[in-house]
Amino acid sequence: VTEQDNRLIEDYLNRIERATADLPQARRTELIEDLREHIQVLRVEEPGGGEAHIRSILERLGDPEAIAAEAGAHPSVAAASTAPTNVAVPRARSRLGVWILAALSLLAVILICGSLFFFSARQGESQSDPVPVPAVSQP
Amino acid sequence: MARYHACMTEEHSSMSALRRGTIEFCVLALLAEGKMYSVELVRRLGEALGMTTSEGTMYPLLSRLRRNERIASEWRESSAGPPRRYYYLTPSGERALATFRAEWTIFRRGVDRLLGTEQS
Repeated sequence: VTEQDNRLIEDYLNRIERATADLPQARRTELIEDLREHIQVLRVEEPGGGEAHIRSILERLGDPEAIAAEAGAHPSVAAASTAPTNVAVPRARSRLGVWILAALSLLAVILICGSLFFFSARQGESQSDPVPVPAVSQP
Repeated sequence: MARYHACMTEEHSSMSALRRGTIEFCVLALLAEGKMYSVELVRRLGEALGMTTSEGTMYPLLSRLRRNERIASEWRESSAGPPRRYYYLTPSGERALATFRAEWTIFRRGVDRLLGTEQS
């Protein structure tokens, strides 16, 4: 057992751990221990050995994200939740954006209504005005 | 990024819904033959169903079956390697397997008829 072999295994299990960050801790630990047992059992059961063997075992286990998804984790959420502020900030930002948009549209409505009122009032004041205001004269 | 999106929901994960739904009962059927440790179980399933690229997805499935109490497990020391978790069928698992066997026969016949895949 070389250091490189162990590093390959630990890297793989770390990827599982990261991808399952949104699972309950007990389920996460159980999954990682099950996979560790699988790897260790195959190492003693299958002929061969060395780095190529480890790589083959991990390849057959498959993509850590796919395993995490099968376990009910959401790897993209999990990746973000390792830094909680990353999740909170965009949500707060988008909520702020909605409020700004709402305020701007309210302002626009007030301005349009105000100018409509202003122009129609002016038109009513001077019926003989030679310059018509076509856009506003329509009801 | 695309791969992340593909994994976001369980429905889109590597095992299709049909495979997931049926493999579960293949596990129960294998364990009906006797206690088995996970690597043995995974190997037998791989041989029968040709799933050699996603063996790891079997572990969440085994975990689910344990939580649903269809199977249970116990640890046994081994002469080589780490202690192994041996799985066995519970009475509830036996009943689930019997029910599925009956349903599957009817379902398979119906699907074959609709798809035109009956074997002569």
